[in-house]
Amino acid sequence: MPQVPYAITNGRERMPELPETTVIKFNPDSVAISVPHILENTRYSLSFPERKKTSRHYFDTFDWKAFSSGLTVQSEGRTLSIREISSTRIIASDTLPSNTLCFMAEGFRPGKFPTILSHISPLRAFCRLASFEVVSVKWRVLDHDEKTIGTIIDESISSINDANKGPIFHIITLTPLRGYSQEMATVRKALQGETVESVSESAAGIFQELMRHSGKEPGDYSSKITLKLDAEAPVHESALRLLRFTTEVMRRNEEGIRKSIDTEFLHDYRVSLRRARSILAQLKGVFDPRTANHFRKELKELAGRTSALRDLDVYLLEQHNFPASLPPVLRGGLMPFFTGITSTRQKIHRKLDRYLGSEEYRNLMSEWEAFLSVMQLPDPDKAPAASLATGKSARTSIKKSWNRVKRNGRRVSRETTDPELHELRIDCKKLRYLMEFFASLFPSDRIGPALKQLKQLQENLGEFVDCSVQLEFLHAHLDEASRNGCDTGLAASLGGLMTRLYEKQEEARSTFHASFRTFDSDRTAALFEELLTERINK
Amino acid sequence: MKSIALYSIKGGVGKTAAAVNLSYLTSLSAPPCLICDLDPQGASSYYFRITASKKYDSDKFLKGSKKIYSNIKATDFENLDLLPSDFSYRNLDIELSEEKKPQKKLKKNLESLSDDYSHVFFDCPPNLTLLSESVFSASDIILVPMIPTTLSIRTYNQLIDFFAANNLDRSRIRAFFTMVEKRKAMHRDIIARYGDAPGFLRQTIPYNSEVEKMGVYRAPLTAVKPNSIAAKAYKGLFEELMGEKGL
Ligand SMILES: Nc1ncnc2c1ncn2[C@@H]1O[C@H](COP(=O)(O)OP(=O)(O)OP(=O)(O)O)[C@@H](O)[C@H]1O
Ligand SMILES: [Mg+2]
Repeated sequence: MPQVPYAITNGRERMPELPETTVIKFNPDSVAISVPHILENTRYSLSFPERKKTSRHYFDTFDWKAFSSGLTVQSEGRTLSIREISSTRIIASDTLPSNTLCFMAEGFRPGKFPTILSHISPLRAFCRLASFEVVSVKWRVLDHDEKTIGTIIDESISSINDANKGPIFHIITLTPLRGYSQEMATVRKALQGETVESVSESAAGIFQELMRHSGKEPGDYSSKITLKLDAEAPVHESALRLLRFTTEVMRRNEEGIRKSIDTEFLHDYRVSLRRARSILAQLKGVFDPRTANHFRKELKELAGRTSALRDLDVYLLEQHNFPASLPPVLRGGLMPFFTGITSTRQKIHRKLDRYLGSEEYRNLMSEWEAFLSVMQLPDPDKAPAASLATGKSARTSIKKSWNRVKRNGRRVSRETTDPELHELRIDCKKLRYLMEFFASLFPSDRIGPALKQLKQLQENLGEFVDCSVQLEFLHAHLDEASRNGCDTGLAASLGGLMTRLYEKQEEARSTFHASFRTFDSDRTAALFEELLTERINK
Repeated sequence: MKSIALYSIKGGVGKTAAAVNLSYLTSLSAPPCLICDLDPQGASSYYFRITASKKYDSDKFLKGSKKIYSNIKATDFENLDLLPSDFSYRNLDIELSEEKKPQKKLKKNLESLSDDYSHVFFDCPPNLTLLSESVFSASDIILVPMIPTTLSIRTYNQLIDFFAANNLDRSRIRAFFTMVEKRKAMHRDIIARYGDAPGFLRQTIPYNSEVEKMGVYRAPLTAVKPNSIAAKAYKGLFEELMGEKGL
């Protein structure tokens, strides 16, 4: 990684980042090199060495959020630290809850460490990804005044499972203190000159190698659609690629759902499932309707099996926010509500877990995957649009969907009734999915602004619908509780919550027309026109 | 970022000793901390074994931003950095007088560091010059070490008068007694008289040969001998100082 001397933030000059750590990698089988011996030929000396032998574990979220934020999360002994990947500097540390394979910010006492964790990823769990046995010697490098100018750490890293196989990495890490990069460069050159088998790398590069060695590829998961489509390819082929992609995402999330690692696994799974259904439904004439309808039905049913769990997850995620919206006297009443939800969630999760492990699910998925693997174009009588060019098909379907959003949005009455808003939200979602499927066909500076306009409208509608779904849920919960002799505390708290939700819902309703007008503006129209008439880039 | 200047018109009163020890204590409990050596003699740089790089001089200091950033050096203590001085700083006064707003210069030059450090300590050279005026307007607290003698009280009053004459906010001035020798009657008398005067901190720093030995340790006494009498006194002073409004 290149060293950026002055990071610019908000147009203002900032302190340069700490000098970057360099790592010199040696062939693990090569003869031991002696750091003190090599340093004898420089102007610098070494402090007394500190020797250590530890197990080191690396953690990250399923979607590599620490890595993509330029950080590593690692433990040595009971000490857990968040480090800057490039300088290896510790940013925060805490104690690892014993024998933990996964953790979230909530598991720690308030402080810098959990704050940074939840900043990296508020909803995902950090799980142990790779473990190593590390034997290290650490020195401080001193100048003629015995001022420390940096540190040298000589590490032999072995795989934790077969440590007796010998080290897989032998690395020497040089970390200059601020203001001493030049001095440490002399030391680095001396070390590098010593052996032909050494390679200099960034600390980030070494981290990636360590992960790969454990069969992990940093940054290899994202639920976002990253496919590059070919505008000239038949849309049938592109649709299959998209569906294979969304199915792959579902597959990769199954384990996390079953182990209940965090709520994002189910969330991503459901989004992918919805995307798949949306492709089947929206790309008319691309598939044989009989097959498409069959799978639409199956996938809908599958989605239905997951929605109860998601609903409960949504409440549990709000667990810490709900009480604050109630007056203190009503907060206690929520306790039984949440304990109830937690135990219901357990039951429902067990059921879904069983289903995902069942023969029935296996058969469904293999039937679906078999369908996706057949690249042959379907019978043109049954699927007349299958051979259309992807680019053309993308433009027509987006245009149609956009027009529908406009038409239906303009039709929303002054009263803005619930069904009107619910339906419009679905229209928007469809448009959003189409734009995301085909995003790679358009220049990103065109599709970006158009998507942004749409997202703003979706936010308003989303707020409205979320409130109404929650209201319905609470109402049902209250009904059921009253049949079982509900206590007044719970009833009052739920009532309080419902009032708040209703207020929020009504607020969203009252701002709908204004936010739709912003969407249905000349500016949005121009953005979409430009997007859709533009020659599609190849 | 809060700024504290160790300042006095008189030389050899323990400004540097206090700057070094207080900044170290700050790096422990209110990190990160920067110590800015403004004295061409470079005593605080010396205590941290730091010398400015050959290319650094007063010119660069006056240019600010980038030139300052790239010359900040880490001390051997975590969360404590130092901007070393250079011998060319002896010309700072003349160079400042050629600037448009010399009084505001220091404040402006350090503004962009405000996100990077919670506290900055200025170790000032003695005398009352244009540089001191620039320090006054850049500092939240002007901390004045005083050996308890009548002469010190006189120079202290000169400082107060200077503030009044120049419309500066004197409520930012804090004094404390240092190199206190209880066996000396004059020390006892002065402390009895001024010990609880407004603007005077209660904690005093005794005369103690351990402080002199900092030149041998070349590290803050509070780091190498935290349990020595003088280190404990600095700790007390630090706590009292941090209790001040605005710090
Ligand atoms: N409390 C103390 N007890 C004994 N000696 C001290 C004490 N404080 C400072 N000294 C010694 O007195 C001398 C002057 O102290 P110091 O350098 O801190 O003062 P200064 O005000 O910064 O001086 P200058 O004006 O030259 O910058 C040093 O040798 C220092 O070690
Ligand atoms: Mg001094």
